[in-house]
Amino acid sequence: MNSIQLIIDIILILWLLILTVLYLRKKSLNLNIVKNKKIVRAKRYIVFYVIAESKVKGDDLERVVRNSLKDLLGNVWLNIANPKVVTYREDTQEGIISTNRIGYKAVLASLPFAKEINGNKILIVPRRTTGSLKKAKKLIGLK
Amino acid sequence: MVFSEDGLVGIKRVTIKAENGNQLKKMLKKPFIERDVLVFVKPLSIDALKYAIINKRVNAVILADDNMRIFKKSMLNLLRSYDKFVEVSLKSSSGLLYNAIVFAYKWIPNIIFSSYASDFNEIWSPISKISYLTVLGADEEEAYKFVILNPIKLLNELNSTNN
Repeated sequence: MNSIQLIIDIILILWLLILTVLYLRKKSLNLNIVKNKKIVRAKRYIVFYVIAESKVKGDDLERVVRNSLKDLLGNVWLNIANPKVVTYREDTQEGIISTNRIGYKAVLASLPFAKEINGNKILIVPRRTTGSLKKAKKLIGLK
Repeated sequence: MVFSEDGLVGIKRVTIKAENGNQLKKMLKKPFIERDVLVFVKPLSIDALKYAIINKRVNAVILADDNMRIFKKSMLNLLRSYDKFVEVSLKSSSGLLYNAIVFAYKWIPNIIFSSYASDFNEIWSPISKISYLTVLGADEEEAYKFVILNPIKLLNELNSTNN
């Protein structure tokens, strides 16, 4: 009878030991942080308007924005943020820049450094940052 | 908020460059220093900086790349005790801006960051200013304070002295 009790005790101790090891390993690896992978990759859309001496094109604008970000924070942040002018209305001079949650502040900070397009003085004014393209399009008057 | 040298837009400001305390004293007596004008001083020596901090007519002291060396620990403590405003240009090097943010946390709570724009394409929007300061190491709340609240505080100070 005593030997059976001893076996049960050993099994229980082993089981508790395994549970403790698994718990500690999970804690040391910080497995909880990986949960937010989806949020880290989330997109951000910066709604902006342009004040310029004469009208500018969307392609030129994207080139200038990318160059200013590269000048300010280098190639690494340019690749992380990867700003793109997804929509640009030439009639109202409003547009949307797509970037991500990590790099949108870098893009916002670099916008005042975009001062000229082919000798034409410009000022890019960020209006609002949103998480959905639909809302961003609504803000510039597109359905 | 706009503080302009010509006074055409926003509130008029005057910037004085001072080599020493006596020169600054003479400049402050000139007729163009009116009551409703903001006086900004760029001191080029420790003597001028001391006088600018102590004088009540001086609204803010300018911190730039060429006078960074005179902002020593004792001067920063003096700035803190007199609760003086310090202005930093966003055209300055990013190293200076980083140092200014560090100073702001430890010594100068009343710091303002100006664009020093001479043309429309040099103006900074508040969102870009806050993001730039955040990229340089400031907290978002503090950056908001530097960009929006401190200029209002400076304006209130001017209004309270005039009334």
